[in-house]
Order: sequence, then structure tokens, then C-alpha cells
Amino acid sequence: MVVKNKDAGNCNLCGVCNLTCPVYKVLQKESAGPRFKAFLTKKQEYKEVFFLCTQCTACVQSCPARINIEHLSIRAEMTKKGFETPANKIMRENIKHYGNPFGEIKKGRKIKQYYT
Amino acid sequence: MKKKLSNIVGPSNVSDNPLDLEAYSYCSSETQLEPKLVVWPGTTDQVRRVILYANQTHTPIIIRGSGTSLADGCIGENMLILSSERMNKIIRLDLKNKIVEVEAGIKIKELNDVLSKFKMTFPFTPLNPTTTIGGMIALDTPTKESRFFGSIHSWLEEIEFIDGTAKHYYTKKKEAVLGKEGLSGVITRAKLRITEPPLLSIDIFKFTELSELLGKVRVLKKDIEVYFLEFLDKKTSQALGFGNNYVLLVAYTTLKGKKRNLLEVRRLCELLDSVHSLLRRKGYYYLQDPYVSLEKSYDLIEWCEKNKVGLHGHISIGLFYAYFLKEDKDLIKTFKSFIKRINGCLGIGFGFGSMNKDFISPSQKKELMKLKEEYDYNNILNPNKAISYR
Repeated sequence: MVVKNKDAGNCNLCGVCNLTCPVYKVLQKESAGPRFKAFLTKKQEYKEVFFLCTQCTACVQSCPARINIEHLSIRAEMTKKGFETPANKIMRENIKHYGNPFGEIKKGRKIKQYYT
Repeated sequence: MKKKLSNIVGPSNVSDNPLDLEAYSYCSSETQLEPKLVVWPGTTDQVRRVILYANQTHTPIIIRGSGTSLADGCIGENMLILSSERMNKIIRLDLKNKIVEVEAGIKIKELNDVLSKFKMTFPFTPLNPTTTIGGMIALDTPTKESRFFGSIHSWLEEIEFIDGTAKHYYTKKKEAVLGKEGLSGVITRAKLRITEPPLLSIDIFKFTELSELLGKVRVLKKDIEVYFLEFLDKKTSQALGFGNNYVLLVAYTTLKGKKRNLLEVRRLCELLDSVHSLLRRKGYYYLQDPYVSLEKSYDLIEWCEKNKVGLHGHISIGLFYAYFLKEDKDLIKTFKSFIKRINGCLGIGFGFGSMNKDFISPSQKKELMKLKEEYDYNNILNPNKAISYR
């Protein structure tokens, strides 16, 4: 992977970020929280958990050391290398065809109508 | 084993997925030990059945809350991780009698956020707000409020736990598990006393000489109106805008302090809570919890200053937090031997775990051995933490 997160090296895994993470709050397990992502980033190991993130940056706000793991760049890099979750693939296709990630517009309708 | 456990807790509450195993292989320390299985029980009965199964199969269990141990207290190679993350509910809130009953996995910050809506608080704020109530009880963590409120012991009404032989207890006798680092039982529920947040006034004392500071601490220690007494080293106080001085921040439960304005007091309390963040942002990485007598505080502060180690803490109870830079990892070894030399201790704040075993006194060791014999003779719970039993 090309992405190098200088910040993540300063993470001492205190876990305060897990407290505010909405994904962790729902799933209630360590592998879903930002601390695990920081742990993996430190080791430069990028796995599917990076797609388990809402990009709300609550973890950055709550982090005592203000560490920012660049999820978006990591995801982009993973996608480039061919790694993508099925949900992400569907979402991307939906955006291409219907103009929204949910694929809610029928094929016959114009996207323009949807926006107006 | 996974199948058996999923019969007990449900298939979604047990995992041997490599991602989960990796996620539970670390805590806030640097060590990495991969477990065999992770299980998230949701009820006390499930905890009891998991322990019963572990006894039958001789599977050692590591009890884990939010995984914030700095002493390798919640990781174990090839062991079963019993996580309390999904036991995080408030069961009952009795405002009339000022009692709250909670599951052990609730985090202190989450609990106090809810209580603050009712203008109540559980008045202990550990350094890490992610610490679970179960973890706080298991470590008997001293906080800055311990100066005024004493140990968490008197704030515990009743406690529910399952011992190492899967026996269920709901008792007022907390000594079996309080401060025992999960060696005797898994805490599942606790009935806590709560109170209104106290109205405080604050005084800020600045010193250039350490001897003056310690003299002041001696006087303030006797004052029963002192709520907390916090020490900041020169570097920290400078970063907080108090100049190049040693600082004592003293909060009173009366209007004795010069800062009485509610907003000003709140600002100072927030400033004090931000010390950890400030030091972390300055690049300090490793954290230690030296516990020394007031007489030896002089040596500790001097040593830390000489070695460029950040220091702040609850000077009235003798508990400090020492911050080391990432490149100073080797200095920690020297620090540990220095603490031993001045008859201090490590592990009072963050637990003894596997890393601070050397600091357990013979009497504590004897007591823990006795407890193991009584509550966990198969040595199922947290083996090799704090003591080496069998």
C-alpha cells in the first residue's frame, strides 16, 4: 500500500475513539471500532474493516492526540488494488446508473427528474 | 468449542474470525497475544454457563472490558476472551434513594452522560473515560476524587459476580472482587451510589521551589474541605498558561477558593481534564502510574524533570501519571527500578496485570492466593495476571 499515515504511529491504543464511534456503538466489538483501524494502520495492514466507517470523524475529535486515520485514502487505495466489499461495489454501480447510492430510480426515468 | 459456546450465547456472540482474534490481541499496552476465541455474553446466566463450560474443558478465560489495560491485563495467548462490551445497560435508576444499577460493561463516561441529565453523577473520573464500571471495580482505581470520597468501595451498594467455579453471588461483601483484577470472579452487575455534582471553588498555587510545594500539600492534606489536589509539573503548567512553575490546583467543596464563578470553575476543571490530551499531543506516548509517599514525591518530581518525563497527578493520594516519549522506551526500565528504589509502586492506577507483577507486596500476594483457592481453584480466570497461581 502506498498510503502512509504518519499520525497513526503516534496512537497508543487508549481506545477513547471507540467511545464516540457510531459504528462501534452499534456493533459493540473491537474489530468494528477506530482503535482497530489505527492498530492496523500502524502495521500498514489494510483490511476490509476500513469500509466499516461513516467518515463522521468523531474519532478524530475525541482522540487525545488528535490522530486522523485517512480512511478515504486507504479505501481508495484498496479499491485501486481490486479490494472492495460487495456493498461498496453495488453502491458504486448504483451511483453510475441511477445517480444515487441506493439505486432507487427506475431504469426508464431520467436522473434529471430525480434531482428537480 | 465455538459450537458449544454459540449454544450458550448465540452464534453472533462468539467469534473465531481472524479479524476479531487480531482485534482482541491487544490492549492499551504494546504487547500482542492472540486469543483462541472471543465471546460476548449478554446476561449473567450466559457468563455463568461460559465459565462452567470453561471449567469442564479447562479453558483459561481472560476477562475484558473496553481493553484499556496498560499492564497487559486483558489479553492472553490462546485463551478465551470474555468481553463485557455487550453488557452495557443501565438496569435501574432510583433518584429518590440515589442508586443506579448497571451492567459491568457500561463505560464510566456513558454512565455519567446519562446521569448528568438528572443532575447526578457517579463521582469518579478515571484518566481514561472508556474504562468500564466492571474494570473500575476490579482495579479499585483511585481517581482525583478519591481524596474526598475515598475508595470506590463505599460507593458500591451491592455487586453481582460469577466466581471461577461458576457460582453466582449477589452480595454486599465486595472484598472478594474489589481490586482483585478479575482473579476471583467476573463482575456482571453493580448497584452504585450516586450524588449531585458538588459545587466547587478553586485555588491555583504556583511554586518555584519543590520544598514549598510539598509543604503546602502537607497543610492541604489535612483540610477536610479539599475536594481534589492536583499537581502539574513545570512543562505542563507552562503549556496550560500558568508559567514556568510547579502548580497545585486545589478544589474545595466550600467557597474557600478564589475562583468561585461557576463558569470559571468549569473552565478550570475542563483544563485539568485536558492535561492528558495536551501531553499526548506534545508527543508523549508511554504512560506509567507511579505511586509514592509524599516524602518521596520530591525525588519522583525531580527525577522526571531531569529525564524530561511529563508528570501530573493526584499528589494528595500519591498517585501520579508519568509520560514518556516514544524514543524513551528504554528509560521506562530505569524508571521502574528507580520507583522500586524509592519504595514506590506501579500498578495502583492501571492494575498490576502481567507487567507490574514485581510490585505486588507479599501480603497482597498472599491475599490473592487465598482468594484464588476459595473462588477459582481451577485457575480459570485471568491466569498469570498479578500472581502466578499453580
